[in-house]
Amino acid sequence: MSDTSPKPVTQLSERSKELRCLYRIEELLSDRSRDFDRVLQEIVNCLPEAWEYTSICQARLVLEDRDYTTAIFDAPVVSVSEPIITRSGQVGLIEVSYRASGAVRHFVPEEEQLLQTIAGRIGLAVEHRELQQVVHEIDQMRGGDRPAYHQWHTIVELLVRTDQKLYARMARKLLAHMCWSGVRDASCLFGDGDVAYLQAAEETGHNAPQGTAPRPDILESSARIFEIAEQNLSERTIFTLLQKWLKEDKASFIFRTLVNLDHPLTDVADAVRRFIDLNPPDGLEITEATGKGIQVLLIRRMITNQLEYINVAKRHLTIRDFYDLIDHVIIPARSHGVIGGKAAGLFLAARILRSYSKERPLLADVATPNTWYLPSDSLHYFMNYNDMEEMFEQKYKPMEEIRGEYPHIVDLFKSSRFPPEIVHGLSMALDDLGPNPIIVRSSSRLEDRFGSAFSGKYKSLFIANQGTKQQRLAALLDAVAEVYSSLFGPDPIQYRVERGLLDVREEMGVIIQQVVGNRVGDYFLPTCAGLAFSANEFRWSARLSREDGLVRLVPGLGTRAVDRTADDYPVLIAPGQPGLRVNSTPEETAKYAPAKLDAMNLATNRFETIGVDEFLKACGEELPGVERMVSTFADGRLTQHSRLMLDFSSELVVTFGGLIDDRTFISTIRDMLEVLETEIGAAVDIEFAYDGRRIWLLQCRPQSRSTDTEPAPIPKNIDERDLLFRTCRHVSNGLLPDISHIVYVDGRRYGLLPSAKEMRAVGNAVSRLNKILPKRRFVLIGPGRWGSRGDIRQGVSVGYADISNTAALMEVATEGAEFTPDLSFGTHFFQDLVEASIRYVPIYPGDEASTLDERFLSRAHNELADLVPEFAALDQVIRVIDVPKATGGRILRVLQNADLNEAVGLFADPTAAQPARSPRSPDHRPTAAVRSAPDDHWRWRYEMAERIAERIDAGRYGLKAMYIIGSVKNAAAGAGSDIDLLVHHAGNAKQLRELQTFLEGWSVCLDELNYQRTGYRTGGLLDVHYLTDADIESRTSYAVKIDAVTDPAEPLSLG
Amino acid sequence: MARPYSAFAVAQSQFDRIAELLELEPGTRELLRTPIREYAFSIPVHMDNGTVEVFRGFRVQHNDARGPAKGGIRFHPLETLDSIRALAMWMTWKCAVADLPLGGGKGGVVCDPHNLTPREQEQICRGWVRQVVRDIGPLRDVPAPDVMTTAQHMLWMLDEYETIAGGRYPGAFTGKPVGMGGSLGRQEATGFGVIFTLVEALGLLDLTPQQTRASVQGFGAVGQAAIALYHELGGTTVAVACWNQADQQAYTFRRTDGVDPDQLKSITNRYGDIDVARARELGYEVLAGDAWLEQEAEVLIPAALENQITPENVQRISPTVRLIAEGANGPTDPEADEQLLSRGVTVIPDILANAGGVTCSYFEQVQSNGNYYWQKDEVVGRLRVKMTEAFLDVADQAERKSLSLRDSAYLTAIDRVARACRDRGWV
Repeated sequence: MSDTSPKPVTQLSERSKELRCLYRIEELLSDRSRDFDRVLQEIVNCLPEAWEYTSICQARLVLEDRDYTTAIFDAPVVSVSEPIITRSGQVGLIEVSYRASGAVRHFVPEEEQLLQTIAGRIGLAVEHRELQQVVHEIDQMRGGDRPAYHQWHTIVELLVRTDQKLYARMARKLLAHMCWSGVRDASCLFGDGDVAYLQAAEETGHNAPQGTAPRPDILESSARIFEIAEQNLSERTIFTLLQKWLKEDKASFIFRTLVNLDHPLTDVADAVRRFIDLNPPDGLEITEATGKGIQVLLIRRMITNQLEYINVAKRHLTIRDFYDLIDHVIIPARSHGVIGGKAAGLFLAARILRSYSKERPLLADVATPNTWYLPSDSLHYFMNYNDMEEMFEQKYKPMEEIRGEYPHIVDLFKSSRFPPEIVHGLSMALDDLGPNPIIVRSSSRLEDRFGSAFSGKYKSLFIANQGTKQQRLAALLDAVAEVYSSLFGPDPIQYRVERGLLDVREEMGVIIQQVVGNRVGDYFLPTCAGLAFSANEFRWSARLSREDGLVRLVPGLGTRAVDRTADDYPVLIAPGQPGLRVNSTPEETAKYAPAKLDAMNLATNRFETIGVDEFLKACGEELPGVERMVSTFADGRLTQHSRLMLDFSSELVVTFGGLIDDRTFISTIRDMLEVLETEIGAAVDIEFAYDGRRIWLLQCRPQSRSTDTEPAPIPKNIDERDLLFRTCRHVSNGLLPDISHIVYVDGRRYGLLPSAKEMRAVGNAVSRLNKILPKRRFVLIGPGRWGSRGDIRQGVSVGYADISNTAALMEVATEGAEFTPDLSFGTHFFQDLVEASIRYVPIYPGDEASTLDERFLSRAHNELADLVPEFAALDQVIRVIDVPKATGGRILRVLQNADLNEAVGLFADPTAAQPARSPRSPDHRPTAAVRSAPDDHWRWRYEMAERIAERIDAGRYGLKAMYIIGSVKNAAAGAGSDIDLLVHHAGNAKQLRELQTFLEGWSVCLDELNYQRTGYRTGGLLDVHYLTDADIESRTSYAVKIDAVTDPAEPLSLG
Repeated sequence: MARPYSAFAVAQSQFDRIAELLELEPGTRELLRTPIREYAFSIPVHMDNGTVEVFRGFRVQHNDARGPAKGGIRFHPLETLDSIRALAMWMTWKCAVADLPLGGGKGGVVCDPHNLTPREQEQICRGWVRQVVRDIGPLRDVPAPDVMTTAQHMLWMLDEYETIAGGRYPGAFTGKPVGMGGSLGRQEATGFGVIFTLVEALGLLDLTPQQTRASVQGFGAVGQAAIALYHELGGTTVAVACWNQADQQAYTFRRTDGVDPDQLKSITNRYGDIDVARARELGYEVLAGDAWLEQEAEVLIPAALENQITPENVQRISPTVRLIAEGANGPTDPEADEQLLSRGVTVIPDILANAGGVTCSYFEQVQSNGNYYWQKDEVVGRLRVKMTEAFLDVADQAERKSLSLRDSAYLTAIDRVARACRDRGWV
């Protein structure tokens, strides 16, 4: 062996020798059945093997009066030693040395460190043995039919002999106990102030070696306490108390670490490791109360302070769970962080499911992916390391600036360096996770908390994780930086402004999780994935109840199930009644089948969306479980085939027919939802993936209560005069705050129409109104089944495009002569309604508790003829009501509450968000203070429209007048709304072209500005409708808006 | 307000008008105005949740003088006897105009399959058959799929029928999958039928397909098959309109030198949505959804929805248009129909133009009864013969009596049924 610096291979083999030695020692110490003397001797024997020059290495261990050495032990030439310390001070030492032979050797730092570790470990073991002995002796005393309570004296003597500090602590506790029990002598002692020393003795950290024994006066006082106890308490009481306290005391170190918030997370981790290692696999024996106490403290330190969470978590998380967790947390040295909301939800859910695995055997097979965590304050270390603290002020800037600067912030974060300990931790995580794709998700403290819906606001990034370790690590660091930077993104900041959460100190943890799936061709993806909700808020059949739940299932990665897309559909299943499907004919099923899927492309290292057909034809054969995912669509039928018989060139439709028929899949999901809902005590939603073999739980949180699905509180004592309708059957959740128009199709009169042609005209009129009325500010109320495709008498014949702008679709089951109508539940376009968040309300006026104010609907002024003169003849059948006009400035508010199974529509004053105002009054000019308020979208647009009108050279372009209509005029514009202008043009064709060019310029320009403010890009913000003199005269096209009765166009003054 | 709209009342008044023209005697009129047999019954079903629900079922045999009744079974929550009667009557005329040896029938169950699990639907199907098993069958009444019923429903029904009858009678139901008693060519039958009648109609105008251009609404099964055959025969399709699900609106795809049907099909999904962006790339002009109507062409084929040609838009039809073939049901409003007639545009009525479907159903029955199944070209060949004959019969009569094709078709149909009733000595 040469003396030059060791080669890497040698180094590696050295480290592995050290590890082997550590494992061996661990094994020896954990085996409590062995004689301790022999254990110590064997430790000594195995030590030399871990040292570089084993052949000349020898070891010695001295513990109190015992001395253990290796078989050969000569005079050492060079040695290294470490003291063995317990809470009573130094009790021995351990020494490794090289014998006099050959050249003089030295020890490498790793070897010194190893010896330190071993000494520490032996110290702990000695301590533990001592305590065990005490407890054992107590137990011995209790043995037999009658416990020998009088023997508490023996315990006390034992304590004085072995552990005086423990003895002092016991005395203190006894004193406190006696004081509470009203023992006078004890109170005196307490009052003397004598006990102050006890406090002092206690507070010296157990980790710090303290060579000296407690002062004699401590021992004296303690003895005095025991005397008082003997006089005042029964022997049995003293014995029982001592026994209990001694047990608790074993675990006191973990308590002390956890209670003191100054201890960083690394100390917490050490304490947990020590607690478990002392008595694997479940840790030290402790009383139940102590266990709960430790659990709660651990939840606080590592997961969250939130009481709702703690209440649930303490029933399911054991200290052992934290032991498993800490090995996957990358802890910077001074970190005090937690693992964040998203991580917390999954961690708890997995434990809840595990605790049910006996009762519900299907749950035993549910897995969670390998996950690593960066604690919430790691972001601060990162920013501190790069001197970026001033970034925290970002959120107070105007929204335009936040949006404008955000891309630079992302770049800045991505080009910053990570503290070495985080890099090191992430590198370890990568080794553990292996070379499969991973997802880097935010796990901020605000996310996924009980009772809040701060979900999906921060980034989640998929990375392919391919290439060399260095490339993979670089990609991971890049992704973590980008996730960090999303804390400063405009959308989450906007969201926090809206929720009043701006000033909350936001910390962001990161989860690094294995992506569940298989490699198929160049792609990596699960067979399917999705979202499941324990409460079904979108029921397509009266037979479904809320408790039946809802699953949104998509092929490939679950991203497509999370987002609602206009041109693609997830498969919807109610796990409670999987036989009741949204689509019942094969054609419907095929039409609403998922057509695209998301996957990681490992060849390009990118996240991609691919057509399902294309994917299946290219590599469907390799996808595990594909035969349970697709059905063959041929001859008007959907059929399932075995994997062998599946023809990938035939027409395949994603139905998940095989998975649904199999029942295990759906039953597992149902069990998961039921168990989690019961335990968490609230409706939950989960994200899951299926890799063709088993279900993986990816996320769990209380069901997000966006305005979409939140139960609207329904006021008591509603004045019946304010009530338009009340219904108590098949109610979902939802809230429509400001409805300005009602389109009511009178069921009785509709049924009396003489021919199908008139009935179709009703559908056409509705379609026309759908384009004219303010989007999502009107509701459609009609008889029977909207979109009826059978007998047209059964409901107004419309397609989804004809009703796409309504806020709600209401169906009235008015009893007719020939049939009692059965409502459609929007089945004809149910999935479209779901994806567009259009509410569905069935009204059964025949029910006792239900009402519908048909008097109001038939008497209020009908605007139909003014709005769509071509359908004026139908004014007996269709009634369009301008609510503010008919009710003196009020609006219709629809409150749906599934918890109460009640929905009401009431007339109420407009909400504050829609101020009654004259948009032209200068008071409402935007000011800095209101700039980023959520309701200023219309203001800014209105101002811009005025600006355009002011700047335009009317004469040059042949312009007669300009009007504003739609959402901007109505102060209802959202971040993505366009500005609807009516332009009365009377010039020639050239002027018109020039005008169009002029406005087009504005349109593009405003779109860019709006993007800066809101992140919405539409390609052009102006929607200009040109009117001619003829239009105005004949009131065709949009000309009806000018001087209209309802929602008239507002003129803009031209410059 | 007048009395409520009733589909059956409308069908009866339509019949009355033709009966008047045919000067049918009162007894015949009375017989043909109303169904000859009606069955209404209850179907109790044990639901998945353990409860029992009772569903209302119907079968109406309007007239079977010319042969076993033929017609679909509908599952609809608001199904009524009234609408089933109307549809059964329409089936009688439809089979007669195509000169099929069949009568007309229709049936249904008041239920919403959206609210039923597959097992419950199967119970309804079997329950329906148990109630009418004595009155249906290959020689009496042959049901087929219709609104919300599928090949699967037919197989359940057939199985129940055969179990009770104690034998294999594949001819008792049609609309079965190929290999389970179904016929090849069903997919294309309606579209091909449209073109077979179209070719004959062009012949009467001294035109050949090579000399004509067509504009088609709809690119589903009917539209695709029609365009494919039309091109095979030398015709040129200049525009195709179809619905786009993603944009929630229809578009017309135009290429004045003729669309390439295979190319269009390659960028079309299974519901007949053509990919707008790809179409543009391939050089198609993308126009408004109703632009198909105003294209410069000799032929219009509305093959999508009802009520597409209305008094409001009929003027927009190009003066070059000579012929309209109704591939869809009821695409032309009666008022618009009259205007077209006065402009000299020939309209091949739906009852004749789209009879390819029912003709193929008849072929399925024939094959099933013989338990011998034809090759596709045999099906298509026989379809051509049948459709051509049917068209020429109607056209001859129209020529002789100076009638519109539509009136002539109804006249021919009702006359055939009335004669059958007389020949049998019923009236």
